[in-house]
Amino acid sequence: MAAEAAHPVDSARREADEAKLRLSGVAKSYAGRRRGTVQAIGGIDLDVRPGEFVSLVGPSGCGKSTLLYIIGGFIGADGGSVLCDGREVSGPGPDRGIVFQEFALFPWKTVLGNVTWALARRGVSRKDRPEQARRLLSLVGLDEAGRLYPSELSGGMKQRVAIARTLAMDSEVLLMDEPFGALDAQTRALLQEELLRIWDETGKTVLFVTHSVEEALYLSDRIVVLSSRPSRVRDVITPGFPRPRTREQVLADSSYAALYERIWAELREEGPA
Amino acid sequence: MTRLRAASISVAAVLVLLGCWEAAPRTGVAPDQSLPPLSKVLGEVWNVLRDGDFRSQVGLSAGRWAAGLGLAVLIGVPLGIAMGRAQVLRRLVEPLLALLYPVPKVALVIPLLLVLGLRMPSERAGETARIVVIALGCLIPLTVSATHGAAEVEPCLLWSARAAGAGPVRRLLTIVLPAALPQVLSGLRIALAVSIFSLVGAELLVRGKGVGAYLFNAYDIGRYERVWAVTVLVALAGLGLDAVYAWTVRRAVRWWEGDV
Ligand SMILES: Nc1ncnc2c1ncn2[C@@H]1O[C@H](COP(=O)(O)OP(=O)(O)O)[C@@H](O)[C@H]1O
Ligand SMILES: [Mg+2]
Repeated sequence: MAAEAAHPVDSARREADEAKLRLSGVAKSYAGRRRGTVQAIGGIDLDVRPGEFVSLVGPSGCGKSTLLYIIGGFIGADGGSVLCDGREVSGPGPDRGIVFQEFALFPWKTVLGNVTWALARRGVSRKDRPEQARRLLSLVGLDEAGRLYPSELSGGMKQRVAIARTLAMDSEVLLMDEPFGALDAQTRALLQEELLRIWDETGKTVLFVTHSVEEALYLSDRIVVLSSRPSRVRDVITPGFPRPRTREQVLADSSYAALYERIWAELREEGPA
Repeated sequence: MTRLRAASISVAAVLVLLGCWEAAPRTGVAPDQSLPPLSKVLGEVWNVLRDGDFRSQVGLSAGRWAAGLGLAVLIGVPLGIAMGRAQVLRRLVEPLLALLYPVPKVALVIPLLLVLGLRMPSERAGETARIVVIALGCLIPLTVSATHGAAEVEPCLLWSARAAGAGPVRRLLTIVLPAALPQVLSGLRIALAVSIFSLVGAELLVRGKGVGAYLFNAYDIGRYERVWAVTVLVALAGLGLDAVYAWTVRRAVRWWEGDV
């Protein structure tokens, strides 16, 4: 290591140092239902820079959730490696928070209880927890709902709580698996805007799975298009819309239509996995 | 159908049945002493409730019931939770439960009495056999429901907990247990019903003391009104227990979306 450091740092080297997440050759097969194996992920290389907002789009069943679970450390890859801050990922850790499509709230805890629980795991003192939980709930626009149970909330509110609970872990990386996929269009638009605001305020690195091209274009710095199974990176698109951005600005941007069409054409070509 | 109408239909069904019970002996459809009219039975219920002997038998039976059910909860719930989380244990124990399932547990009271009778005084053997029979009956619904509850915890709940830094013990105590609670409580409701009929069944087979023995004694001496009165009381106890349990669970577990 010391010898290497003595050399002048070339550009590839600097990028490696700067990558918040670095996936190299990540592959994953599942045992097939009847026989043999299904190769879900063929081999994915991807670097995500600190503070970057990257979206993953791809045909359904191509392994987007699987990839997120591998990065989260919940399941192991068959090949390749995942580095977070240069360290090999070998299990779940508080440096990588995750938000699921189905919210994954603890139904037996109140809204406040869900957030407080995560704060406690991070070692926040009992006395500081209520104050911090209220601040997080306010960040996601839920000042009033602290004493309600998840069963008493709408889908949009549930996802806000889930985001607050994940933010409570204070992880620098946020993995989001189609977090707004189960919400109606209006709630979805609202939460997209709030997510951008939160991302802006907190400077998190976000890896965001979606099947909505519009959503990817509105939110992302870069969009990674995956091929069908066994999936690889098919295309990487950098929309380059200015930030802070509004939906109107993005939709009115002269390059929007072409980018939208390009991603759709690629997805259409891949077909269902 | 409105709720009121639905409820009134159900009430009507019960009233018709009770009406037939009152009418059948009076109109001669049931000609002998074996089925007294409902009103006489209810009068006898009052007498039975005031009978000091009956009340001490109830105390005895309640003790057996609590011991049997308590034993089943203490063994069945932890065993089921462990089976739900450890495949090996589940593969090991499930076939044994499947074998036990179709056996009428109440009938086991006789072989149990045989085995235990060789090892302890007959009084204690009878007591133990009755408690074991109640426990065995309740064990299956409790174990099975706890197994399912623990096995079906959403993986993303456990993943969220792991990501937040919760270790295996904390995940078991703060995620698996509460997530399995609704199923365990449903299993306990079934076990409550099983416990009542196991208790009375075991007491009818192995007499001596208890509500079942009191019932059989009334039969032996030909007091048919009393036989019916005790039967009605046992039925009411079962119904009341179930209603109180369901009501309590609904109020206590506010977060639960389903029903016991
Ligand atoms: N636990 C599993 N066992 C077997 N096959 C699985 C499992 N999870 C996912 N798969 C398969 O792997 C492929 C990728 O799944 P997934 O990652 O959920 O895709 P996506 O999120 O892109 O829709 C699918 O074909 C799916 O059927
Ligand atoms: Mg998915």
